[in-house]
Amino acid sequence: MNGEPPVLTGWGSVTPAGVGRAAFHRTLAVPPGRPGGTDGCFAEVLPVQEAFAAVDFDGPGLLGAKATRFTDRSSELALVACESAVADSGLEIGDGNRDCVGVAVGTSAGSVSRGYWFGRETFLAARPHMVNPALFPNGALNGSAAETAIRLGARGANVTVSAGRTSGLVALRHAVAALRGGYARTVLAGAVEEFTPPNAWVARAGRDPDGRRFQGEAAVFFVVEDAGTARRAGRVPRAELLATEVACPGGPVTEGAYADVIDAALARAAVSAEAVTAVSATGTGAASDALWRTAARRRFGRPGTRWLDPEPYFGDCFGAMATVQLAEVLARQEADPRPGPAVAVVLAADADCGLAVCVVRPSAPREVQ
Amino acid sequence: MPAGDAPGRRVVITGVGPVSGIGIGARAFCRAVQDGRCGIAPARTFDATGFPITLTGEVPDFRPETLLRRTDPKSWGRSGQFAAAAARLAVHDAGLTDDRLRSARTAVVMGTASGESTTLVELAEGWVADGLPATPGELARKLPAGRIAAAVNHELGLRGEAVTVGTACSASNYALGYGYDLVRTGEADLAVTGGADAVNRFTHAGFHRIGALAARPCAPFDRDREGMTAAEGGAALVLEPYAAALERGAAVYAEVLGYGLTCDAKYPVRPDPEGIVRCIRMAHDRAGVRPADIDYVSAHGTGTGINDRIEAEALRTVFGDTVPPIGALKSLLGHTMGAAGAFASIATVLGIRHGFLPPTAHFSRPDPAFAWLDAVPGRARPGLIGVAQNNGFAFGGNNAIVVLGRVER
Repeated sequence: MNGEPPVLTGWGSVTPAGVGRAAFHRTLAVPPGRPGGTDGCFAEVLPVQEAFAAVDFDGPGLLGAKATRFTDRSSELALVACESAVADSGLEIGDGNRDCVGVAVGTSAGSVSRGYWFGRETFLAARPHMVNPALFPNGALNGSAAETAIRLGARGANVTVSAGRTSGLVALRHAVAALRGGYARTVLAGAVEEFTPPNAWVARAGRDPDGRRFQGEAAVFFVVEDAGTARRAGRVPRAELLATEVACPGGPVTEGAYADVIDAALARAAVSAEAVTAVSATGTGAASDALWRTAARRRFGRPGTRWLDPEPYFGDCFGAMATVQLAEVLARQEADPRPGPAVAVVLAADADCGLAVCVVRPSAPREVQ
Repeated sequence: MPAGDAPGRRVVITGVGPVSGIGIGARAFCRAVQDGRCGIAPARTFDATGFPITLTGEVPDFRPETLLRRTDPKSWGRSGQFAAAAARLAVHDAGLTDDRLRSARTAVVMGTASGESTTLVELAEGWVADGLPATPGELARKLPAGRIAAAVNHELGLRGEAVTVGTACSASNYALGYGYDLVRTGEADLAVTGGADAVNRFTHAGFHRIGALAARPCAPFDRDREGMTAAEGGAALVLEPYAAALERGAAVYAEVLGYGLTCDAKYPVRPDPEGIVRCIRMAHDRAGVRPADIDYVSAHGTGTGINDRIEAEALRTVFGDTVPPIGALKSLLGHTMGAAGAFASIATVLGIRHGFLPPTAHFSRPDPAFAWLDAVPGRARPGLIGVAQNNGFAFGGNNAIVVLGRVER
C-alpha cells in the first residue's frame, strides 16, 4: 500500500427501513418521525413502547435457515449488512483474493441477548452445564466477525473491537491498520447493535435511566480497500478515508484534550479545518458532551458548515452509532446533486472510551442505484 | 498477500505484568513457570454446585485494591480490574513513571474473549430471579467491553488510544501485534498491550457442555489429555522503541520481530490446520526468520484432543522433522482466554531473559500421533532462546502468532 488514502468502495446497512443503501436513503429523504411501536415484538417486557428497531428484519429469511441455526441477532444483522456492502461495492470474494479480504467488527458488548439466553439455563436447569451448546461459540465477542468470515470465505485479518459508541470508527481504524500492515487488501468493516429485551434494559438502566432517547438498532458495514486494489478491480470509491483518530481520557477531560484529537485527525488527513464542510456529531447526551462539541464548533463552526446528527432518524444505536453517522455523511452526498462537501468529519463520543474522529472525502455525486 | 509498509522502528518489550493464579508480578510468575507450578483448583469465584467438573484456573489472591492506585475497583468489572492491575504491574516493571507515560503518546490495547462476563452473569442472575425490569444501572454501566482498555487508561491516567480487542482466545496476540505496529510505525511512543478475562459460570458451562473441560488438571499434548480448564487473569506487556529503551537504560526482555494474522473462515469452534500453517508462515515471513531459526514454540495447547492434534500437525507441516521444543502454559494456568496470548508472551520473554524454556505440566505419556513432540515436560528446561513463536488460536478461526527474539547486549 502506498501513500494514497484507503477508499470506501461500497456500504450497506440494516436499519428499520430495511436492508441496504436504498432503505437508508429512504429514511433520510423525509423528516424524522416517531419510531415504530414495539408491542408484540417480543415475549418479554420492554422498557420502551417505541424504538427504531428493525422489527421487520428476518435474518433466517434473508440468510437461509441452515445458515442461521447458530447465529444470534447481532450476527444476522452484521451478516446481512456486510453482504449488502459487498454487493454495493461489486467486490467478489474468491480463491484469488480470499486470503486478502479481512473483517473488522465493532460491537459494544457482543450479543447481550445471546449471552443471556445461553446463560440463563445455568440457573434454571437441574444440571447447570446442560446449556444449549449451539449458542456457546458466539458468547465470545467475535461471533459476528467469525460468522461473517465463514459465510463470505474471508481469510484475511479478522478483528473485533469494542469501544462503546466509538466502536464503528475504531473498527475502521483497525481496517486501515490491516491494510497498512499488509494483513489484508480489502476489509469489510463496520459495527452492529441489536435491539433485544436484555439489551434494551441494559441501555435504559445504564445509559438513559430517564428514558430521554429513543433506542435504535442497526448494522452498517463498509468495504474498505487500498486504493490500488480498488482501482485494479474497477471498483469506484464512494469516499476516501483520510484519517481515524481515537483518544480515551483516563480521568478528568478537558476541551483541549478533545481539540487535540480533532487536530490530530485533521493533520493525519492533511486537510485544514476550513476545508471541512460537513460534520456529524453524536454523544452520550450528558453534560460532558459540551466539551468536545465546543472544541468542534471552534474548528468547524462557520456559516455553511452542515451539521448532521442521525439520531432523530435512527435512534441511539450505541455501538453502531458511529457507522450510522458515516453512512449518513455518504448518503447525504450521494443524494445531493450539487457539489457536496469537500471533506466531512464524523465525531463520536463515548462515556468510557472517549472521542473518535474520522475524516473522509466523499466522492463526487453519483446516482443512487 | 501484500508486503505491508516499511519496517520502521525496532520494538522491544521492557515490562511485564502478570496477574495469574500462579503468581502476581514478574518475579512470582517467573518462579512458578520455572517450577511448572499449576494453579488449577475447584471453582471458588462462582457456585459450581451441580457442575460435574468444577476445576478452574482462578486468581484467588487477586485483591485489586492492593494493586490499583487510581482506580476504585467497585466501579469496574472484573476483567477491567484484571487489565488495569496487569498494566500497573507492567509499567512498574518497565521502570516507567506515570509522568513519563502521560507525556508520551501511549496506546493501550487489551484483548478479551468475553468482555465483562462476570457482570453479564450477575445481570442475568438478577433477570432470572426478578425479571428484566430489575436491571441495576450500576451493572448495566459496567457491561460494555470497551471498558477493559479504558480501565487501563483510567488507572494510568492516560489519554491516548485505548482499544479492547475481542478476537476471543487469540485476542492478546492480536493486541500485541497491533501495539507493535503502532510503536513500529511511530503512531505511538509506548504501548501497553495484553488481555483480561474472568472465570464465570457461563463460560464454564459452555466449555463443559461441548465436552471440552478436563476433570483433571489440563495436560496438553499428553496421550491421555482430557481437555482444557477455563481460567482467568490479566496480563500486560510494555512495548517501546528499542532506541528509547536503550536511551533510558531500560532492561529489555525481548524484541517483537513480527506477527501473523489469518482467519480460517471455516468452522465456528474447530481449528483448521491450513489456516494455522498459513499463520505460522506469515509470522515467520513478517519477522524475517526461517523455521530453522525458531528455538521454542509457546503452543496454544488447550489440552483438548483435537486442538492439540491439529496444532501438532500444523507445526509438523511447517517444521518438518525438526519441530522445536514446545511448551503449553495452559497446563499451569488453564485457559485464560483473551489473556492467554499475553501470559504466553510473558512466560516466553521471561525464558528469553533468564535462559529457560517454559514447560508443559502434567505431560508424561507421549501421544503416538505425535510421538516426536518435545513438550518440555514438568519443569522449565535451562536453555537459551534466540527466537520463539507464540501461537494463539480462537473460536471463529482467529489465528494470531507473535515472533519474539532475544536482543544481544
